[in-house]
Amino acid sequence: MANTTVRGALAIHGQNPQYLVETVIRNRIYEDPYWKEHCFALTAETLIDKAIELKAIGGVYGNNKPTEFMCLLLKLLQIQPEKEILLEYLQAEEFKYLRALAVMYIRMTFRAVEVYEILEPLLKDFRKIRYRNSGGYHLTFMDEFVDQLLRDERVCDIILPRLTKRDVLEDNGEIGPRKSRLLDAMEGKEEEGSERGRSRS
Amino acid sequence: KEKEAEVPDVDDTDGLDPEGEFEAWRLRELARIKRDKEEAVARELEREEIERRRALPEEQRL
Amino acid sequence: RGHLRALGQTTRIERSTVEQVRARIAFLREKTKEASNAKAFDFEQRLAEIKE
Repeated sequence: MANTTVRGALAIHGQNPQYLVETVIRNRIYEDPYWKEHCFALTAETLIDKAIELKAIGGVYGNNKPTEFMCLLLKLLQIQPEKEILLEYLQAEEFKYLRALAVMYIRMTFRAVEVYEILEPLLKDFRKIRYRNSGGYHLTFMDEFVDQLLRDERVCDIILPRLTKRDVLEDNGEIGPRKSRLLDAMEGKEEEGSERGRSRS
Repeated sequence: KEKEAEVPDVDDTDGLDPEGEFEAWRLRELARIKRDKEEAVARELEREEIERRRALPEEQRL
Repeated sequence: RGHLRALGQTTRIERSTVEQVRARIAFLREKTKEASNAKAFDFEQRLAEIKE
């Protein structure tokens, strides 16, 4: 039970969402003490407490030991919270590791257009985050992490589902050009109120 | 037990140097904008090249 | 699973609602407020400065 996907879960990218974490890592997570002691029976609500205590993002370290970040990511894949819940996670901006977790989950499970629309605005979040791997802890930034998720095939030791390239979506008219707050500022554009931004798109 | 290993040796406190942190972000964002632009230009060039080849008569294309 | 049943516990995890999630975040926010007050840096103002 502890390791099964929630009943009624939707297949993501054509498979059980938990399989988005490859078998080797997944099995290491199932054996991990943090998983067993802290992730058992977590809900979308109680998971928040754990996520805000995270000290780092990352996949595995040392002898293929999964990070707590990875355990919580698998948990999310298991319980598959509603989209609205993920957006709530993102909006709780003072909890940066909760946001990082949500960002990773969204990249793995949402449709390409949504991934760009939801993640790109976070490229302005320049807060520091720790990234843990076998080499220890490293400093990265939220914007850098988001950029990696949008471009790289592998992030935090996870092979990400294929993401349609931005220019393809643009050519098909499914998405507008990327907006950069910095570029807007440099070009002297007025501060874009949320209502105005909406109506323009 | 292995608690020492659990204490991260990297400081992730924000706002210690607000100016510096913003400036570092500005440079990262600029680099991304530049990179994206260059990629767009490269794609456009490639597209033009394909068009040009298509327009060539059969024998020249080979 | 069997032992959980024996204890009368359900093995089915409850689903949280958005409202519960919102309430939890609001609660945690309140709790950690003082700690995060230090971060009063104004991103918008920095962007405004670039415009000049």
